[in-house]
Parts: sequence; C-alpha cells; structure tokens
Amino acid sequence: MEEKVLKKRFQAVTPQLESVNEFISYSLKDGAYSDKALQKLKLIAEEVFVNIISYAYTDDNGVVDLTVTIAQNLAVLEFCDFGVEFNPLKKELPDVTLSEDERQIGGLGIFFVRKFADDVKYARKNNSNVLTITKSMQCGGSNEN
Amino acid sequence: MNIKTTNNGNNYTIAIDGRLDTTTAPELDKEITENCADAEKIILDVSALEYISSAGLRVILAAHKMLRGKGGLVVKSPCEIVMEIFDVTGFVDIINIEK
Repeated sequence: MEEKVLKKRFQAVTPQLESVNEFISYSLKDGAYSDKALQKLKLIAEEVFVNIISYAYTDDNGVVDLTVTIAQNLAVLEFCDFGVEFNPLKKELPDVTLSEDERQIGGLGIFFVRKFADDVKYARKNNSNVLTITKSMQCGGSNEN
Repeated sequence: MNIKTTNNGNNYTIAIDGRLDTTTAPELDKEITENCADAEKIILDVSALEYISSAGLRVILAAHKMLRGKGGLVVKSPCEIVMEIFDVTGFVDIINIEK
C-alpha cells in the first residue's frame, strides 16, 4: 500500500470534533481496519484535540492543523497548533488504581493517548506545538490496540 | 447520541446510544443532574453506546458520586469497546457494571 497523506485545518473549538472524526474516517476509508482500532484512533484524536483547545489557546480563534498519514498498517496523526507551548507528555499520568475518593479525573485523556498509541512524540517548532502519534492499525496479533 | 429516560418513582433508567464524547457528555450530565435530580437509583443502559471518551467517564463518575449512599448507579450492558475503556481506566473497580 502506498503512503497516503491528507491534511486539514480545523478551528480549535469543541463543535469541530465531529469534523475531525469525519476527516479521520475519510482518511482511513480505503483500509480494512477493525472497529476497535478505528475507535481507538478516534479516541486518541478527540483527547488530543480537546487538550489543545483547553491548554494551547485562551480564546476561540485558534486553529489546529491535522495531518493523517497512512502507510501500510500504520496511521500517523500529526497535530499542529500555534498556541502557547504545551507538552502533554510532561503531564503526570493519573493513577488508575486509586479509589474513587482519591481519584483525579483529569489527565485521563492523555492517559488514553499514551495507552492506545504505539508512539507519541512532542516537538516545539517555530512557535507551534507538534504532537505526532503513531498507531498500528493491524487487525489481530498483539498490536491490536 | 440519543437519550431515553424512563422512571418508576425515584428509580430511573437512562438509555443512551451512539457516542458519549466531549460534545455529547454535557447533554447526559444535564439529564442526570436536572431531570433525575431526585433519583435514588439510576440504571444507565449503554448497550447501544459505541464510543466513550474521558468526557463521558467524567459524567459517569459524577453520577456515581451523586448516588452514593442511595440506590447507586448501575452501568448496564457495555459493548466490548466501551468495556475495555472501563477496564484500562480502573472504572471497573469503582463503578457497578452489569454485563
């Protein structure tokens, strides 16, 4: 399978989440991926997108450039925003074994990203935050995350 | 997401389908905190729910806490994908989930 690259700019506001999902579905429409793998990729995308809205921008005028690269059975999502410097990988992960009283609900989003992606990289480039997430979309086997 | 609520006195059943995400979670939160404010017990039927994100988990945890000491919250019949989310986040140890 040849490499396929699609790029789209979104307003950094939560109602755009549906468009982000549609864009990801469209980008992966030619592959035979399991529902599980697709849902997890969309979960990763939602959590990153919402994180950018919450942390990178202080108003509704920000944008997010999403680039989806499909190569063989790998999907790579690159999120680029132009907000304040924010590295989600530096955020402390929640302890998912704590009891309900001790439990902090924040941070679960980035927990999902790290749990379900095969690789996550952050870079600050030219006043932008670039988060690159690689996920295997293979059906079956140990990588079916 | 569609929300369908039925009740027998203070016992409510809320059935949701589709996606419980950042855009739809506030609707469920409103349904629980406003329309079911007098609830003793809520059964959240998620059998037709296909997707849940951290925003959805937040609403479920809040509902669980709201009903603590009363009849409680029961999350009923999650599909495999939704169940996996409850598993990896440790929600299985906190929330009453009925398969």
